[in-house]
Amino acid sequence: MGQGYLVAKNETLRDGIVKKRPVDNPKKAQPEVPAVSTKVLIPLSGDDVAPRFDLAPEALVAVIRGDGAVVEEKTIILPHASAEALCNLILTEKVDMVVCCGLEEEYYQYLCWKKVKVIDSVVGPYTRVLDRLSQGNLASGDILLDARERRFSKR
Amino acid sequence: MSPFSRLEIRGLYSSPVALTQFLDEISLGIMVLSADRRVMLLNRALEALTGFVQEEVAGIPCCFVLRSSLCLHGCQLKQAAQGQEQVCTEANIVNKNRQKIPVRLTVSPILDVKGNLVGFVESVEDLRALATPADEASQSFLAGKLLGRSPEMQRILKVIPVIAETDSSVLITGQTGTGKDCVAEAIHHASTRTKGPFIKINCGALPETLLESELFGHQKGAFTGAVENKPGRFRLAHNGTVYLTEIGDLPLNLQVKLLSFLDDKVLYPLGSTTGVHVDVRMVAATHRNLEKMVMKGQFRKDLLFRLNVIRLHLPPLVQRGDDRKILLDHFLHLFNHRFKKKVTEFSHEAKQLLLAYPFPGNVRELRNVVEYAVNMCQGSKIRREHLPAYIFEYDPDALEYEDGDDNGLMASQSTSIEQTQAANWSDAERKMILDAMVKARGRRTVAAKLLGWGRATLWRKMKHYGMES
Repeated sequence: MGQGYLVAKNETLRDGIVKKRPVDNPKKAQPEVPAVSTKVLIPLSGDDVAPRFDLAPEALVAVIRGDGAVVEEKTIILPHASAEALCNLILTEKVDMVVCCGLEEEYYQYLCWKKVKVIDSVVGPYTRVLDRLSQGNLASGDILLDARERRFSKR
Repeated sequence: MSPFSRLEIRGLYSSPVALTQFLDEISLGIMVLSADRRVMLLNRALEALTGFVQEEVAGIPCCFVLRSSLCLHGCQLKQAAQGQEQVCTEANIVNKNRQKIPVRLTVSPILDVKGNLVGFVESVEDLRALATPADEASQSFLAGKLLGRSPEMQRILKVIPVIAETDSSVLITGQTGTGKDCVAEAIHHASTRTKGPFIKINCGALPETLLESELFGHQKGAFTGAVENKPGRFRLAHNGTVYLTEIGDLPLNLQVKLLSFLDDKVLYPLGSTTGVHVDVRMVAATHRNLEKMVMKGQFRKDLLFRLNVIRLHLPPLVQRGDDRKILLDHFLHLFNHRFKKKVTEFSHEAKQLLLAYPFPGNVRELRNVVEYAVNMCQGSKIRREHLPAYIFEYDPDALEYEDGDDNGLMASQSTSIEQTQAANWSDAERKMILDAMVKARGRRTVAAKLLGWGRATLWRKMKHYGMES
């Protein structure tokens, strides 16, 4: 631990605890982020996008560079699940884009009004969401589970 | 396609029956799940409730489809699996259309002949119809939202329960702000379809190309950008009521499609060759004179005849006599309570001014005027100075043209005046918007209030006349 991740700044100001997530590729952990980058927040439940925005126990904040490289990842454990708290976090973190699953119209409109791009009804693990975002082809309603993950277990 | 959608039930009837068809006939939302809590089948009622279609969600963990408040903490399926008995709880779900819906969830474990758990059946009951009166106890549809003791209103209040009992199409006409939306909702809530959805579609709010896919749905690949199947608003309203507001703004080619749907209640989503039978009740409303539009070729005569089974005309406020006093008092109490003020009454002068003003924006305008006055008033009595300035600047001649665009059903309207004014209606409306914007110093919300319109109506009309910039 220690070399493969970035320590997020000013995390102590928030109520939440900050977990540091190692970045797989050390080459990606560049301290300087180019100007053309997108900060993405994904409400999480385990390693998947949380089924509901307002009930997510944690959130992943990642920065995706213009060339598609994910240069920063951190997971924030929320003190309590709340859509308002999450919206507040999105604004304080200056997030550009939110990728989530179930989101109420009220919060969708609020985030749009605050110029945050929202991609909702996305199902799948966050790693695949980041891959798709890097490729620039993620849309609302995308289900990022392959056929193997959709197979039923037989008893 | 789900591998289970072709399953058949054999031995129950003389010939095999498709399992999906069997489930589709149940009015409750039903989900069949595997032992590892993945979606195997969804019935049509649950498709309408969640906005997902069976094909796209087969094999997905159920929490991503149902998205209930219990999914992350207190999953019922886990409880049902542990206790091997039925679990029933009230919760809420967030559907694909971003609506939060109160529901009753009932999960039953399915055991094989040896008593091993093989899956679950989950039923989802929409509680919106039950929850609404509790949430809006003070606004019971027939008692609180439609006020009036005038003979015209009494007739409407009496006729609504009678209309609600039938399943015929209803056409509600009346000037802007007369309460067409309230009446449509009241009809739905008083009908036997009250447990079903009430889907409101504003025909004037969407461009023609989007409207077709919004109303009738589309198949994946039907056009560029159609990356998934979309059920459409009519399908979502299955077993409920579809309320088409501003039906006069419906484009002609969609009028044909709507006509065909009204005939056989089968809709064909864009790009699909197979029809879907949908059971909905149709309520339409407009402030336009549809008969005139028919004469001008802007509205299909046959569609008018199909919609015009039961016609309900809402009178403008000027024809409602003493109702204005009741409404003034009602809104005074409402806003006084809402804004936590201590306003108790109108001064004699203010009341006389308000009673003399014709309220071309009808009840909506009256409500806005009272809201403004309650906000402005610091004492206990609303005086002349608390009223918006345009009330005093009212010029009867300037406002006369409002009737020109409205339904030509009111006996009080002069035909000759109507004809000349209707010809110049676009110019008159454009001028009216400009005047209001000048008075409001460019503030659209204020201008909309002055005109007695909603902000969205003003925006739409400005867009229509190319006055956006």
